[in-house]
Amino acid sequence: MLDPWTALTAGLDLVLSPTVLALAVVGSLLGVVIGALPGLSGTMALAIMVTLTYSLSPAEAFALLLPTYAAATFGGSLGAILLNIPGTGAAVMSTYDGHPLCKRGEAGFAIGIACFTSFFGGIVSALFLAFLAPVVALWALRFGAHEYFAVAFLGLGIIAYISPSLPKGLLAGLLGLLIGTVGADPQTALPRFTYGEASLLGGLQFVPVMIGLFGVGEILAAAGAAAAEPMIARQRLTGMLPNLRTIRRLAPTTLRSTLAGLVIGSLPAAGPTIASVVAYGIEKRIGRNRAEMGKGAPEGLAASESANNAATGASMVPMISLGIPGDAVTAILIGALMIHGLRPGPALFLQSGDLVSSLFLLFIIGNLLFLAAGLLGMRLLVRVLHVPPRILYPVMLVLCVLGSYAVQNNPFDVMVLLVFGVVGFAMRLLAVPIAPMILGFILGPLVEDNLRRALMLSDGRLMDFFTRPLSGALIVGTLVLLASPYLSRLLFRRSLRLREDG
Amino acid sequence: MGKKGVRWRSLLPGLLGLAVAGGAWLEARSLPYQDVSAGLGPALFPHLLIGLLCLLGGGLVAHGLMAPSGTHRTDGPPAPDTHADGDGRSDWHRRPVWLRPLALFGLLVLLGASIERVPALLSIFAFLTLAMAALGERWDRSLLYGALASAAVYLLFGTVFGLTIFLP
Repeated sequence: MLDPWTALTAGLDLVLSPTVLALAVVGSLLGVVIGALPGLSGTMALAIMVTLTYSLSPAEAFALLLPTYAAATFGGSLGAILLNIPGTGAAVMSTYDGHPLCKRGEAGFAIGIACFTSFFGGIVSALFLAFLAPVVALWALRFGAHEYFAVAFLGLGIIAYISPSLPKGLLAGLLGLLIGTVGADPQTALPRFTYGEASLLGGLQFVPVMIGLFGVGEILAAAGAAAAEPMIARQRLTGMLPNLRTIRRLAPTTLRSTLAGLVIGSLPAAGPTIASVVAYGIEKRIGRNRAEMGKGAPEGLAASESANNAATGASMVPMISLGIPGDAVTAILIGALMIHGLRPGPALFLQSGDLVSSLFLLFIIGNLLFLAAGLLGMRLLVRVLHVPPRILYPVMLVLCVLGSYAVQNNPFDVMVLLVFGVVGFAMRLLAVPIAPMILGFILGPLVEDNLRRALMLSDGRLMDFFTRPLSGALIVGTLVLLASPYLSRLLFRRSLRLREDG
Repeated sequence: MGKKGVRWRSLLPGLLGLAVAGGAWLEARSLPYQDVSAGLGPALFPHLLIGLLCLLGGGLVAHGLMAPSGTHRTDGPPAPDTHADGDGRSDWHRRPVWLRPLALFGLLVLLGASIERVPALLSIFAFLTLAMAALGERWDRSLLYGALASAAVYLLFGTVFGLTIFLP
């Protein structure tokens, strides 16, 4: 196994080549732009870019892909802040506070927070990946089906909890879980909810569902809004470099959320999306400025961004060590490894230590590059978003359509996009939060698979979910969290009545 | 007794949840259960979700209908503002605002239907031009911006990403 020093040095020869470094720069720039533009999700970009790497060496291929991954995770926040349309699933939580900050005329400040907290989380996670990957992978092997189910249950519970309306958040989460069951049953291959359509046997594709809900739905809703004002107010991007006061203010949140991102991200099958949700939930529970969360609190944005970038490197721990993806992006990266004849797992560390080391180094380089790209290229990028909506919306819709089509070259995915565009539009009209639905959709297969496996292993005993310490703690904790608003209200009314009687 | 109000933003999502649960049940009722040793089968999870959706949907409907008496329409879907502003652009901007999403969506459906049937560049150009005009841009500018945007889209997806629908 790699020791920390070897982990950071063995791959230097592979990385310090002009081609590799040039590809890393290209990957970072593309990642920021693609992540920011609605309709061009980081997932879709990576999926297409993998096909461009067939003729490259493994180090060159990942020089393109890894910086794109790091940069797109940050880039997704730009769409979330400026347009209220996250470019990636991991940026969903950034819409809660990022966009309100933008509407207040503090877009530059918000982008600066996103840039630096993402960079901090990303660099820490890159070092974490290098130093602790073997150790954490060994520890994570102890997780069984009960624990995986419990982690996914926690993620869903938190996203519903932090929604403006808890019942509607739960409703959206359940709908997301249900649409995640579309396709062939993973254990018996029996088709479910396919209605005889062959394209649905593999389930609904994540990209058209996400772009439909967040992209098409948002654009349709915005097109129906009153004044035809620019999508973002014409504001100068000032205050992007945080001052000492801001750094001191956000330091506790950033450190806390980075740690949450590292822990959650390193869990097999948990990735940046869940990490940002959990970190945001923690901040909303114990953060100093929790009353302002959801209304433009810098802490909310810092929590989401540092956690999601911290989880990027951490989610590569189970990806490299066990071959288990943390999200759609890491699933694509596993595919890229296998295209180049590399099978992720402990054997990869033993047989290709220098390549594994080069992956760590490329990830560090990618995080450094997106910071530069974000700060230097931001004004140019935002100019694109100042184009009047009547011109920008149709272009974005075309990007949504082509982005959905490009996943599998299947026109059916465009139909899925349109259906979920209508769903997203309707949800906005009815004030039903969308984030729980997309999270339910991502986590649905994981939740079901582990639930059934857990029941199989425990011979149908439901109590085993509670008697296993970690699983029990997570499930009970989630249930308490969901009940807490109602319990507090009940206790408050009781104390009020007692005071009136007394 | 005062007239009962309705919380539309609870009632409608609740009805939606119940409708989805009902529709899903029609399809899922034929799914089989299996032994515990086989993971209980493909029916377990969908049925569990359908049950939870019914509970939650029913709760939201009840909450929506049981607004305090004397309360009139306490909430509802945001009423679209029918006063659209304009700056001497085309006449469309004076039409009711709800027509815009409808027009955009209709054009989007046409674009989606034309994928792989009509040359991609042509259908994209047509969509962009018509959509910009539908949103209030002048026709001549719509044609120009539509052409420019189509070229940019082709550069990105046709050449950089090599999307197959742009191949002759």
